Amino acid sequence: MRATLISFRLDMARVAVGSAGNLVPFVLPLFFAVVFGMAGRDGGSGFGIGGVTGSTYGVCSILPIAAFACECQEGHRRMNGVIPANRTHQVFGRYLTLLAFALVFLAEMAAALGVVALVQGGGPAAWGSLLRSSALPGVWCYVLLQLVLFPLFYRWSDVRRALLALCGLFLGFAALVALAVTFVPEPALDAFGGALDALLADPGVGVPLGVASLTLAAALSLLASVRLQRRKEF
Amino acid sequence: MKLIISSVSGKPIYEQIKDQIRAAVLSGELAAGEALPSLRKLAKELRVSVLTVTRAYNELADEGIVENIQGKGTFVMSRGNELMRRRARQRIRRIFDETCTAAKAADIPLLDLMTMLEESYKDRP
Amino acid sequence: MTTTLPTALSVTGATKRYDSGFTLEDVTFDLPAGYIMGLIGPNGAGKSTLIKLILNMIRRDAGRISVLGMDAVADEETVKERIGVVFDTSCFVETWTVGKVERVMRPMYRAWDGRAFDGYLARFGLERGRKVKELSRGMQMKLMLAVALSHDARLLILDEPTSGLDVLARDELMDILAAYIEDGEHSVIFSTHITADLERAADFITYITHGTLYFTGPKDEFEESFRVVKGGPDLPDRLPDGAVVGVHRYATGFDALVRTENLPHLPADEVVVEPASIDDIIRLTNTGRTAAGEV
Repeated sequence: MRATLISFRLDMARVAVGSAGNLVPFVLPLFFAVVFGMAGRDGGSGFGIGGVTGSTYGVCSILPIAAFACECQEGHRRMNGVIPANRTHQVFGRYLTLLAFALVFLAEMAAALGVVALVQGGGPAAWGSLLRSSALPGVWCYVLLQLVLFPLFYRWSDVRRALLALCGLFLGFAALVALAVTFVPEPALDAFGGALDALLADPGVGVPLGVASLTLAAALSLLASVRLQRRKEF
Repeated sequence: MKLIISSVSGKPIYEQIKDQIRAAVLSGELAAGEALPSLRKLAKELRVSVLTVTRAYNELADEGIVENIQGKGTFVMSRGNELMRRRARQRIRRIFDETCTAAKAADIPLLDLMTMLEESYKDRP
Repeated sequence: MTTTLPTALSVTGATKRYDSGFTLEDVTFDLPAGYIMGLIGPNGAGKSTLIKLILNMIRRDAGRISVLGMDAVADEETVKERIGVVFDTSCFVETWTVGKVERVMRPMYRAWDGRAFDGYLARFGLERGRKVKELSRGMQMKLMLAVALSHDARLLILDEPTSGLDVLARDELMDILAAYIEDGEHSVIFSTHITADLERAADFITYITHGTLYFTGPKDEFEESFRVVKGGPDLPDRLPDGAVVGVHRYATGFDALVRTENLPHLPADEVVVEPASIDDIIRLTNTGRTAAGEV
């Protein structure tokens, strides 16, 4: 436990390099919220929410990448061989940072959506519905994507190659979707989509399903990362 | 006590330490029962290896000049000084025996022998 | 008097094979607690590989390593709490300040001693506001040394710590190490290619060349087991077979490294026989391989 916490704190210190200047990007989604909120005042709010989600996503994606990139620095790489934490605990610590980043993501989304609700003149109720419809799925997507990314980062210490691999994965996924659209009869697809929407719309089902799917993804991802990291040589 | 280590003399460092401690005991600078500096401390001060000082101390102990007391340190033997003198006398006596044998074989009278000894003694500083 | 303490470092049959072809083969040695060991050898001999094996930074293909009586892999975390590691340059993030290094490292060790760390910062002239990347190589090494000495480490592992240092700083480091081992419970292993650092202060020498162990044992024994024989150009061929470990020939003569026990009786007016320095041994065991050394 102690060793995991040590690794977690070290990773946070790697990410939080430097000064208050690093906080500037976090203002960006709020700024977008004002702009899109005003633009969407006439009813096109879906457009605004997309912008807010996208910018929050962009800002928060840098956080884990920073930890991985920092670890690859020529001199600093050796630090992993010095600290009193073994490789497995170092990976656990890294996954703990993802939990922290997910909270940052949620807080940022909540703040930005609050701004949107404020600008559009909606009350707490509007804010609450925005949180349910956009913030929760946003966090789910963010965490899931990071869970896919982490083992790739551990596999290729080079950040760019890991991201390239992710693009490859996406292309594969897109191809699967295209195949499905081409070969599965349309009514069947419609029925499947409709059922999924209906299922997720109910928070009593959607939230547990989301948590369960993330837990499963986290377990698989962690297992892969630990295996990869244990084999690595510094 | 003064201890100086030369790195160019060609003489091993443990020998240098040994010689200087032996000389200090003989001259009475290190009195009987007096403690030598702890070997780790001396190694630190002289900036030499601990094993080098250990070796010097052990060999001095073998010669009977100092003794190691477990857990306390290394001390000048109570009669280290006297012992060394007695040893020197024994050695000289042995050399004299040989000298006299050789002198008798060559028919050199005692008086001449004493003159030779006197000259030899005076030649040394 | 130190026999009751566990061996500070014990390496048994350590082997590492790289895909590139370089192999560190079957290295075995012990460092008793309370002493300084110099790990020497030319560049590329395998010194860093050995240190990485001790730190479990690379996987070993065979062998066992125990540190302070604990297994270097199975008890890795306990081991790392009790050792201090110093590389030639900093292993901290370049944009961290000295103060941040302290804030990051302090919670890592249960036995962190803030006052000791302050003392070393003052002694080395390290300012808390300076960034790691603004420090010279020597100062980066000293920052690591300050961390290594501030958490009650029983074994210091230093990998080429003096390569970026001037004479004064090297002297200061040797002073610190001599004081560190004075109580007989602390030990140091120290890899270097600057053998002047070891000539006096090291108790033991472990000499690695071409990935294999050439010698391990007390430094005096290392130096005393060899002599350098110098003489005219025609002489080396007259030295007995197998006596010469390595030889360096030049136009007007030769230097040969000979094992003391094999030292032949040679006419004193033809050759000079000198004690061998650590540098002589490294130099001649690496140049003479193709000449007379093959047995």
